[in-house]
Amino acid sequence: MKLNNTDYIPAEFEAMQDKELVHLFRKKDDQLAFRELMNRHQAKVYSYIFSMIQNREIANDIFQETFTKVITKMDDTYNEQGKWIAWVMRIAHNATIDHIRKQKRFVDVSSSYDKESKTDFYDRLPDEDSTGQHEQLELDESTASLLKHIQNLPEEQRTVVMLRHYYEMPFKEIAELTNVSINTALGRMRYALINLRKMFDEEYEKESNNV
Amino acid sequence: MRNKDTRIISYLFNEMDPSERVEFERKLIDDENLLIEVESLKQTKLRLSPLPELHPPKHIIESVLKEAEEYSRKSVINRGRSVYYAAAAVLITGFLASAILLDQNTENSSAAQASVSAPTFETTQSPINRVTSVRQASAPLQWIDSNDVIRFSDRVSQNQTSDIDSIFKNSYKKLTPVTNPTQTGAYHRNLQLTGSRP
Repeated sequence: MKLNNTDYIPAEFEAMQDKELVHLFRKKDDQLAFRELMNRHQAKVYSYIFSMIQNREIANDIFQETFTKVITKMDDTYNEQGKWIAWVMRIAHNATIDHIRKQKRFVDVSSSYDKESKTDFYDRLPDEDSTGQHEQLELDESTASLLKHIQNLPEEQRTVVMLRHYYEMPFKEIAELTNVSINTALGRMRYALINLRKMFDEEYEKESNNV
Repeated sequence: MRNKDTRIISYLFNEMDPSERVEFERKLIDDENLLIEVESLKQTKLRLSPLPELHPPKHIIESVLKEAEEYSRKSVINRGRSVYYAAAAVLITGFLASAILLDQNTENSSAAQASVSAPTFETTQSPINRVTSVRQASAPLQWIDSNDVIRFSDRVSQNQTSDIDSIFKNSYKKLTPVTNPTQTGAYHRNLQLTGSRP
C-alpha cells in the first residue's frame, strides 16, 4: 500500500536513495522526503513487528513508538554512515523484543494458582484464540496457519526468520542486530527451519487423520 | 553447532562465495545424507515465501507523518531561537567591548589634555621621564644643550609667566653638582643631576 493521500510525492524523490532522503529531511525539514521513506519501508517494518507479535493493536503501538523514536532521535543517534533502514529496524526490533520480554515477565509473575476460584493465571486469561482469529480474518487460511507456526517458534529463531524474510538482511547484519556471532545466527535459522518442518509434518498428519 | 550445519544455511540463503559454493555442491554429490537434509530444508524455506507484507492502518501512518511535521516545525523554531540568542550574544559583546574602548579613549584624551594644560615642570621627575612626558604632549619644545642642561621653549599666557618663573627657580635649587671623587671622568664631572631635595 502506497501512501494515497492528497500529498503527491514528486518522481524525483522516488529516484533518490534513502540517504539522500534522510539528508533532505534532517537538514531541510523536507516532509516529502520523509513521506517517501515511509512509503518505501513502512510495510516491511510493520510486517516484521506484526509477525513477531501477531496482534494488530500492539503492532500498531510498536510501529508508532518506533517511528516516534526515528523522528526524534535521528538528529542525535543516526550518523548517516550506515543504512537508514537497518537503523530503523534496530529500533523496531528492540521495541518488539522489549514488549515480548515484558509480556513474559508479566506472565511469569502472575502465573499463580487461585485457591478460591481453583484457576491459574492462564485460565483467567481472555481467550486469545478469538482475538487471533479476528486478527487473521484478512489473511487466507494457509497464511494464517503459517503465521501461527512462526508464532510458535522460540523468539530468537522467529527474529532471524522474519529479519531474513522481510529484509533479506544478511546474516552478518542479523548477528550484529541481535548481538550474537554469525554462526549463532546461522544456527538459529537452521533450528527454525527444522522446527517449522516438524510443525508442517504434524499439521499434515493431523489433516490426513481428519480425512 | 558443526560447521557443516551452518554451511547448509549459508548455501540455502546464497551467502557463500562462488568457490565455496562449488566446493559445497561437490560435497552434496558425495554425501547423500547431506543432500537429503539440504533438499528438506529448502522445501521448508519455500513454504515461508507466501508470507504477506502487511500494512499499518492509515490513521497510524497519518499520525506518524503529522508527528514528523510537528517535530520539524519545533526544530525550526529552536534553530531560529538559537540563532537569535547567538546574534544577541554577539551584539551584547560588541556593545560591551565598544563601551570599554570608548571609556579608555576618554581617559587617554583627558590625560593628554591635562598634560598639555598643566605641563611638565615637576622637578621630582628625572629629566628623561620629563622629556618623555613633554614629548607625549607634543609641546612645549625641549632640547639638551652642550652642558647637558634640558631647555624648554614654549609660549604661555602672561598670567602664567610668574608661575613658570617660580618653577624654574625651584628646579635650579634641586640641581646638585656632582662631587663624588671616585668619578673622575670628564663627562661625569660636567653633568648636573637633578635631586629630590625639597
